[in-house]
Amino acid sequence: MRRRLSLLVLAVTSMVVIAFVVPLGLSVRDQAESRALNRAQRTAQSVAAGLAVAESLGADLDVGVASLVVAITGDAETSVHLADGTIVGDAPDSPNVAVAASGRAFTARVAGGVEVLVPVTGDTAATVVRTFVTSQELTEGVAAAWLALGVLGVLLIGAAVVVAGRLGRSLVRPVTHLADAARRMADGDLEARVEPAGPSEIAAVGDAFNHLVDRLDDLLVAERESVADLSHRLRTPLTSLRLQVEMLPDHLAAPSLLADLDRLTLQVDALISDASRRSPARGPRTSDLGAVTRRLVEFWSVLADDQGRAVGIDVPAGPIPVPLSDEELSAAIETLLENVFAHTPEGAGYAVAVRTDPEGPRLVVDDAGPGFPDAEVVARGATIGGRTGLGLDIARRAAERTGGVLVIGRSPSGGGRVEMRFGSHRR
Amino acid sequence: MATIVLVEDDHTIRETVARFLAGLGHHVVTSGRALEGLEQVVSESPDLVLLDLGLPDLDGTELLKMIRAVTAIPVIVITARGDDGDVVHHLDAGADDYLVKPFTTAQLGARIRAVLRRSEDGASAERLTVGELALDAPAREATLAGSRLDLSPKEFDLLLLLARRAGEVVTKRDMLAEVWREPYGGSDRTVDVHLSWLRRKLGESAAEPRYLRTVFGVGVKLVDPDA
Repeated sequence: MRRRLSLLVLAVTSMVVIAFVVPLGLSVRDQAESRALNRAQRTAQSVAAGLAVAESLGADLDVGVASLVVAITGDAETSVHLADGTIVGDAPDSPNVAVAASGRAFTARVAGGVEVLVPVTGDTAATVVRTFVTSQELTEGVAAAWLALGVLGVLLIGAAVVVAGRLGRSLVRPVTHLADAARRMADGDLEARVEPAGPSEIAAVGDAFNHLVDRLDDLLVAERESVADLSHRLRTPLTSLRLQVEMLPDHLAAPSLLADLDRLTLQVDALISDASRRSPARGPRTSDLGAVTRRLVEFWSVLADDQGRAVGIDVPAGPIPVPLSDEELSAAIETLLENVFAHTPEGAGYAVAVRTDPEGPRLVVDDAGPGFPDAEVVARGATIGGRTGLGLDIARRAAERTGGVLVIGRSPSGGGRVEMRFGSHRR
Repeated sequence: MATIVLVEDDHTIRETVARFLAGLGHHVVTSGRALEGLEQVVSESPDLVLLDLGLPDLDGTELLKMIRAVTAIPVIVITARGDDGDVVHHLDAGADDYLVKPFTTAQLGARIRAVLRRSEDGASAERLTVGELALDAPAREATLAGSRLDLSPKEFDLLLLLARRAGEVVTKRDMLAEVWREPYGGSDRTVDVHLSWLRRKLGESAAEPRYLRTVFGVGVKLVDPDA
């Protein structure tokens, strides 16, 4: 953004500078030229006037008189062209002299400069005064003026770019802070706030962001309270019901009622723990898939050892961030491992691998058991071997919360494969 | 035969629990409100207080603090929330034990017996030995042949449960109910993996058991291998 602002200012200032400096430069050149020509015309007219006065006093306009008048009022570039063709002064013969001799004063551009020709009035014999202005005199001072103008223009553009850079930084800094805070909030840090700064519009965005995080925080607190309330509201009547059924004599079908109550309690427990898992906790919502997998595989390997199961683990080194809290990720992976122990016979090995694909990381649990009866087991409430599929459902929802999916398949040995695909961390 | 003060706002639970405890021969005083309960604790000088945390007039945790300020009578809190953070918080606030709703009369009876027994023995004195295995419950320390065992909190609770019922087969369901406080849910594999760790730390294996004996289809019992 800063670069774009600077480029914009550079373009605008350059255009403005060009629009002013170029006409100004041309005007300076014209002024220098007309100044030199004026000076030459004045000189030529003075000499012509002097000669006219001399003639009116009765003097003959010969070389002597002309030399005298040029010496008094002319300069080195002034010459007098007498009617007999004699030239007084250091000047070449010019065809323009003949035109001026007809009585018309004018200036003419010739090689190396401009000549100014003035006829002597009242002289019937057509004497002409000529002064010559060199090209150098015509442009005297122009180069220096142009250089000064150029330097001034460059300084102006430079100053504008520097000011734009400063201004850009003051605009960009609050926006960068805002982006940082938004990223922290996305990672679950609800303490993320910004100091509203910069232009009023950006400061207003900062204020709105802070307000948004406050609201989110309030909503999360309310959500957690409602989950706590849910557990109280559901478990208290269940307790009441259970205690009353337990106090009933057996002939009133108390055992079958208790079995139903057990099932109901299990479902309520699952519902509450699922609700509290979905109610996002404060604190970072990022964990390291590699570290959590290694820790849990190691923890369960002791039971695997006791049951004669071979355990394989293949986890790449280095952190593999996934956007779930440590607790959520651990619960999901633990259910996958528990599932292997619950649904494969003792002695059946398993292998856990973590893969890092471009579209996101993936956890693969392969076992050497009999495999899944069908892929419907991940559907909510579907059952495997009489147990609810809720365990895998926890893993499925965890994967989906990251933008990924849970995939059931067949392992290379023909057993079961469960794959948790996580959305990429930045998604 | 003990005097028990029950503070519980749910009318049916209050009546049923009172009837159950009376059936066991206890003298029960009930109350549906926190402040009334506090008055009863002071006036009745009971042997035990059963305290529900979801009370209408005052947060149960606050009442627990007030009770602790005036007396050292054992308190069992009854809570609808069984997450670890809550439980630790209540135990820190001075509860002697806790029950998570929905509980069974059997659990309630067992918990009351255990707490009353501990208070009669003097809570600080609960030390158990099985062969060379010694457990110090208040210090939460276990030693095997004099050397300290490095146990996780769950492993210690599991060993303590087995030691308290040494020689008896304890079912996995009982372990889930007592250690994980999940009387109806939880996974047997969770118990299995903790038992495996416990075996390893006790220096034995499932194939060559010493203290921990599996009774297939029933559960596990803790025995003195040299007896």
